[in-house]
Amino acid sequence: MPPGVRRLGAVLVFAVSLGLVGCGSGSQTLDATALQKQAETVESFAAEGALLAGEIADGRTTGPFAQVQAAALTESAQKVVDSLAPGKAKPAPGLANKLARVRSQAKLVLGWLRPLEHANKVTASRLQSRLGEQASNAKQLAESL
Amino acid sequence: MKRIFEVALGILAAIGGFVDIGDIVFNTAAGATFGYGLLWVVVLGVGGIITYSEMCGRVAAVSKQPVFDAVRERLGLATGLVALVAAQIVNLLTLAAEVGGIALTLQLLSGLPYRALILLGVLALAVVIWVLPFGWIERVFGYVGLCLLVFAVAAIKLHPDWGEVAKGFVPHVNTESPLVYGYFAVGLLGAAMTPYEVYFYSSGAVEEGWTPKDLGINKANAIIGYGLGGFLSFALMITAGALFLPLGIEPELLGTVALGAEVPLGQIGLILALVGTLFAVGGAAIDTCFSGAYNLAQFLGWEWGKYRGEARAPRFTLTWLVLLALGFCIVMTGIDPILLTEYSVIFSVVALPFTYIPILLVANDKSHMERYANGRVANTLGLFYLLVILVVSLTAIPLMLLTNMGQG
Amino acid sequence: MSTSGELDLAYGVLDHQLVDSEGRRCGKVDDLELEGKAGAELRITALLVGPGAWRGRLPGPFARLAGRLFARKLVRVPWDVVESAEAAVHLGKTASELGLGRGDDRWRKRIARIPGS
Repeated sequence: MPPGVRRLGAVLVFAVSLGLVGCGSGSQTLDATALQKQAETVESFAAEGALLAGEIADGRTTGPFAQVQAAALTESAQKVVDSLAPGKAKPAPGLANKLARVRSQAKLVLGWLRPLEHANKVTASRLQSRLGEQASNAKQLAESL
Repeated sequence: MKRIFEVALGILAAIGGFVDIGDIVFNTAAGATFGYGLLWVVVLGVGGIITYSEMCGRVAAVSKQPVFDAVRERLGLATGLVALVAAQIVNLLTLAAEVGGIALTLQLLSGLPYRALILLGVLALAVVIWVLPFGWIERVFGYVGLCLLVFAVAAIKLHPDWGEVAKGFVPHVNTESPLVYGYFAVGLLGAAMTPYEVYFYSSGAVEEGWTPKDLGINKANAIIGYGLGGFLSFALMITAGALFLPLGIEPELLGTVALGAEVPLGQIGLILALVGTLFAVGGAAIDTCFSGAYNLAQFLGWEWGKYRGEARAPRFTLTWLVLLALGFCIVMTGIDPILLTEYSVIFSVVALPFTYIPILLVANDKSHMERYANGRVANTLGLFYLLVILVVSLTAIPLMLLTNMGQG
Repeated sequence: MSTSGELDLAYGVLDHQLVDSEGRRCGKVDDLELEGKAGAELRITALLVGPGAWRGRLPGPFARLAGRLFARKLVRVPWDVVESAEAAVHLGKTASELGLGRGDDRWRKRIARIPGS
């Protein structure tokens, strides 16, 4: 292709990529619905972590899959914790307490997800119960918001 | 007898080749969010791709015109150019999404670092395309893609409420969260009717030298092949609805989809799900890459087609190589492939009317199609789906923005 | 040619694929060269192929952009070389004789160097 076309194509791709990467970042004001959504997301991570932990404990996964998936879950949970950090997230008026509760729930879940990446069967079994508990807690929290 | 065998093999390849990363992401997410409530939308989408592909295949077999030939002829240069640019942007996004999906799947299988696997995946694709003849590419990726049938077994083993599943096939609207429901409906339709499938199908018809004698194969491939391919989408949605929805899991990772097969079926389920995904998405990457090259070459009049040989269609060859490289670059920026997939599906829905309308026009043109022009059935379906496509195309971006990509 | 002996230039020729005498695809009919005055009979004298030909059919700013990105190459294919015009326009000579498909010729050698092509 003539160099002009290639250049245009490169610029287009760059612009589109930049736009896509840029979307979804930046701090937000969290209203009640958004906060509830975050709580549900935390519940989801906990539930999936519990599911994965159970499978690892039963020896039904493969090594690479368990490790990669656990690491990915942890990373996702970390992103949520980061987005709820005091500097980043601004609660709508009156929601500061609720935001704090969601934040600590998220940190708890993250804490139990981290060891999953290198957990053996015994550890995974323990993590399954812990994460299962946190999933129920997060669910109750979401319903109360 | 040999003919029936050939037709059956073609259908198998179509089934395995139906599912791509867009279908995997949207069907699983829809199942985890609305259970079985969106199954009827998948049926609608499958009907759409059957109608559209059958027309494109017929046009290609009779007048030897693939999609972008018809686009330029019917829309003219200026409007056709808009259609081309839109199609190419969407194609590239889709290609990048598929390449990202390949790298993710390889990572889940091997544990090797993601970025290295992007390079490995792209190189493997380039070598496969270069070395294998056209028919072989379709067959290899289509057949191994059939491993995704493991989700059908998984769905059954998860003991869903079959009464609820049946209700999901009846068209209805969810009144609790209509906007999010609408977003998923649009996404499912977009994933089922992805444009690159059609560009590839119609060019493939010319690559394989179809003539009016092959119109029966065209119908069989389109109806049975894509029809049964839709079955795989059902399996994905039902699995997600039966496993993830009750647990409150919102799948955002590709590995979560594989869990859907692993939980009921153990390690073998996991491996079949991952291998099936790898080949389905890999095949889709090749189809998308070629579609981009087909579109450009067909619009500008260059020689094109794998059947010509790389040296006889050099600019066509160069185009797909460049597209593969661009897809590689996009994925290397570190953008989340799942997010990329969602964008590519939504944007391809917006661009859909541009290429659908010219095909509908050419399929009705007796001077090109002689006695093979659209009959009453094809036109009734064709017009119905034109309406569906227009509605979906206009509502896609508003729904995406209003629901923040289905997050509600 | 269609059976009525008439040819719809807009739908039947313009923007159609060109195929040479060896069956090779070699461009599109990017524009038409017509002869005749207003009010008198219009005759088609040639097909025009290349960026120089289709540039003019784009709206102003895009035509200028195209002019900067692409060379103003234009190949003139006399109408008498056209053998038939159906879905594709079939020509009576080879692409090389007519100066078409040069882009593919330029890239052919480089692609051919890659093993297996």
